[in-house]
Amino acid sequence: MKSPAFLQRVWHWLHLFEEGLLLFIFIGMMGIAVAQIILRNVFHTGIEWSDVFLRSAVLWIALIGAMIASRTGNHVQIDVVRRFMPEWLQRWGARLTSAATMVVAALFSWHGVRFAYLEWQDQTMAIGIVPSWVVVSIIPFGFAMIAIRYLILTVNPKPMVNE
Amino acid sequence: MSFAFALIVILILAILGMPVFAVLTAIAMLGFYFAEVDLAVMAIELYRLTDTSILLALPLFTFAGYVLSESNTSHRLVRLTQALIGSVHGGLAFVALIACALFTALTGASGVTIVALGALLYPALKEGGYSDKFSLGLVTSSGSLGLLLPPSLPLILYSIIASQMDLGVDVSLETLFIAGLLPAALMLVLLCGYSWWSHRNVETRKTPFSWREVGAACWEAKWELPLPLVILGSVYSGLVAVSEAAALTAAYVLIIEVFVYREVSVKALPRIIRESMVMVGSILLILGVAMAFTNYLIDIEVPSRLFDWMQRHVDDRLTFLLLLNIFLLLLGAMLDIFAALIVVVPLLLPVAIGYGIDPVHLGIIFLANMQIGYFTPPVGMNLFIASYRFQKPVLTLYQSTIPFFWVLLAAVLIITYVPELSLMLLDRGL
Amino acid sequence: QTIKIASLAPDGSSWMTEFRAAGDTIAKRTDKRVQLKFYPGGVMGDDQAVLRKIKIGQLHGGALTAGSLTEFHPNLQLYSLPLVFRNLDEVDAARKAFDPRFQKGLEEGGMVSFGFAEGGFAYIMSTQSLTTIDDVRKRKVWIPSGDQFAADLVSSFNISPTPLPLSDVLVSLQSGLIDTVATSPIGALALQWHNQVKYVTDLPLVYVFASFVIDKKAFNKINEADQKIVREELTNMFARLDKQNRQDNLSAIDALKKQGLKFVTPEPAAIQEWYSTAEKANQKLVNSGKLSNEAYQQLLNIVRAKR
Ligand code: NA
Ligand code: NA
Repeated sequence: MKSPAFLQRVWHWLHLFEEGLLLFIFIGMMGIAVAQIILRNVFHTGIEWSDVFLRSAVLWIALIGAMIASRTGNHVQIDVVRRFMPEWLQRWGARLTSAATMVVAALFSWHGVRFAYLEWQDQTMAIGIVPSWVVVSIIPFGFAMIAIRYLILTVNPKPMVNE
Repeated sequence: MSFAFALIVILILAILGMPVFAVLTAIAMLGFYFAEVDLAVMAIELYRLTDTSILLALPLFTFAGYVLSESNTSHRLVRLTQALIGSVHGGLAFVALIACALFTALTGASGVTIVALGALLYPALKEGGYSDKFSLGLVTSSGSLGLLLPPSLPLILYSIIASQMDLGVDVSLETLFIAGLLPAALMLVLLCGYSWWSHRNVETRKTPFSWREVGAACWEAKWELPLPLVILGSVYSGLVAVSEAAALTAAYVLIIEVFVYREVSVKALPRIIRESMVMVGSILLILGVAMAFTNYLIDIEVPSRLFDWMQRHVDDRLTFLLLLNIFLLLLGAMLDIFAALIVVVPLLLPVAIGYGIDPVHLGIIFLANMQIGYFTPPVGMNLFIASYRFQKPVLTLYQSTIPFFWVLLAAVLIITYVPELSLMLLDRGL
Repeated sequence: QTIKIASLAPDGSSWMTEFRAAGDTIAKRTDKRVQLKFYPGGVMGDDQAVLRKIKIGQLHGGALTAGSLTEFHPNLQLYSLPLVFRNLDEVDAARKAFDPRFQKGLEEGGMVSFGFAEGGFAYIMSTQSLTTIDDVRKRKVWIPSGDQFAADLVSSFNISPTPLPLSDVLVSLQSGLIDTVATSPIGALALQWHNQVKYVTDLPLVYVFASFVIDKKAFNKINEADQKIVREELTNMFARLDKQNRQDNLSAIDALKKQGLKFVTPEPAAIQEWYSTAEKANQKLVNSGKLSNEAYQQLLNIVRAKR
């Protein structure tokens, strides 16, 4: 099944955006962590928000990484039984589990929106001047993207990778 | 009724190959829904990934491991170990086991060892003449080997929890560190013994010993050899905190492989970052939803009910220890070690003391059992990490770790029923 | 009606034993119409996570530190202003006047409070003997990472801190990454930090306290007669813990001395510098509008009358 050219463009830019964000967060994470060590030992000072930033970055990496892994449905799964099933059953099993995963991820995304809204009402700050709802918002966004990926995998299942 | 039905549907989907993160999420959501808890709790629990600085070690050590595996480090390591004990039968397996133990102790967090060292040792072992199954089993099961050695984070956490309970017994960090030395050594000796025995008739590569070759191999690896020293030294000299050691390691590895050895190009870094972080992301997501799943069990008071039952039905020490082993193995199979520690230790300690078990000994038993739980089905974290890292089906990994499971189980039983092993080096009356 | 309560205190601790006893009495007196269910040992997460879960209704209450409750009643922070009290007599005088006000304030903010329990004074503890502010400025001072209150506190004394997570403190004290911490005597013993420091600066730096609270929405679902019973039992229980904690801190100080820690008292001039610097910083904070100036002046009048 081929998607129209316009959609493919959007998809292409989305992939670039995800990867750029992942790179940015990782480099920021390593940079801040190393800078903190140098600042403390050489200049006897530090970045006040570094620890909170680093801990938030772990959450972002978790979700962006999982989003990218969902492109090909490359998540950890128990595939013991599936391996011994006939091919047609494997394909329909894959459709079924992808659809279920999509529903679960979409539900998670919706409740993530509600959580982010709660944090927005609180107006608490997470990292310096960055409010915590901004940090939290990766949860609904990430799961929405995962849901979309599994919707595509439901319509168009990937063949099972055998060694 | 409808709860049971939905649960069965989810379990069938799990068997059909639904991703583990989705299975855990579905069960937790189902449970919370029937417990009439707002499902926003899922997101709140996931957000708790930001509660602890310890987790930062996972992406940074993983990245360092990926960089090391993109360069020729594993070959240098093989050359060096072969030069040192290549003339001894089974020497490479010994080195692999010892390296894993030290590395896990240092990083404490689950999975990091497999990612960083496994990727290095797996090809090295195969190159050294070990079978694929044995090599896989060794790296998968050794990923949690150093849990009892300082400065392991679970050991530190146990000490903190036990100290808060005012038990009137010394459960300080130093005490636990000393208590863990002999049990850790026992595990290593048994595993080395098994490696030697299982390959006694197999031709593993042997090389004649030569000082010249040792010198040359050391010189070739002169930047990588100090790595453990850089990590340990920077922590113990007060240069960095435990939670920062991973950042220093990642930076050091990046500099030596990109700018000194020049085996990894700057252009390859974005790809390495993406590949390593995609893997970290899948693991962290499972960890995050597992926390929500655990929270559901806590909400309906599963752990405390289990212990009430135990207290009613078990009256002698040996039966208690036996049940404890079974329970902890199951717990380790289902929960993340930090969650298990936080949830169970406060419940377990008073009960165990009631049966006359030393809190320090209990800590060692607890962690020794948890260590096995890392690679037992159905939810052994190390199995999944190894499956992902080596692109092997989980079933293959189950099979390859079975012999190592029996060896470590023997070690755990000895540790449990011979308290002297843990308490001998401490100056307290037995 | 089941009220789900989270606490950081581990099961088997004296706090949890008291909580459970109060829960049993309440169940008995209300014919099981009101039942308290406890989640000890921090299994529900830290105070922030617990508050989030209270907001969505998974939990209904908890024993929470004052710092995490300031969003419901900012004036709570008045007790924790640095060096606002000089001894426990001043604390008692202030609490007699202010505890009821704070309880009322919390209830208006949405949290029914059953009183406050003392965590004790936090003292500066170090590997070195520290008496002046300048002494402390030269040291490597730990503050909890992400703790805005602690960050503001040290910056008001012009001290540059080393923020680290709590789990890093013990090893970092051993390795020398940090050499100075501030905590209560109970805290120092529980976290094993007393083995790593040698001196305690005998200056009551910050008053630490906690409150037992239940979400007002959940509390209002209880009928009025039962509400009275719950209030009575929980308030009495928490008052007992308040008294017991004072004793525990006093014996913890003795234990620290027995372990060989030296309590050093600053010279009068140095003490004066500590107090005047703190007072300037406190007034500045109050002027910024977060806390009520009227309440602050009243508090000062009460404690000054004791001097
Ligand atoms: Na586990
Ligand atoms: Na397991």
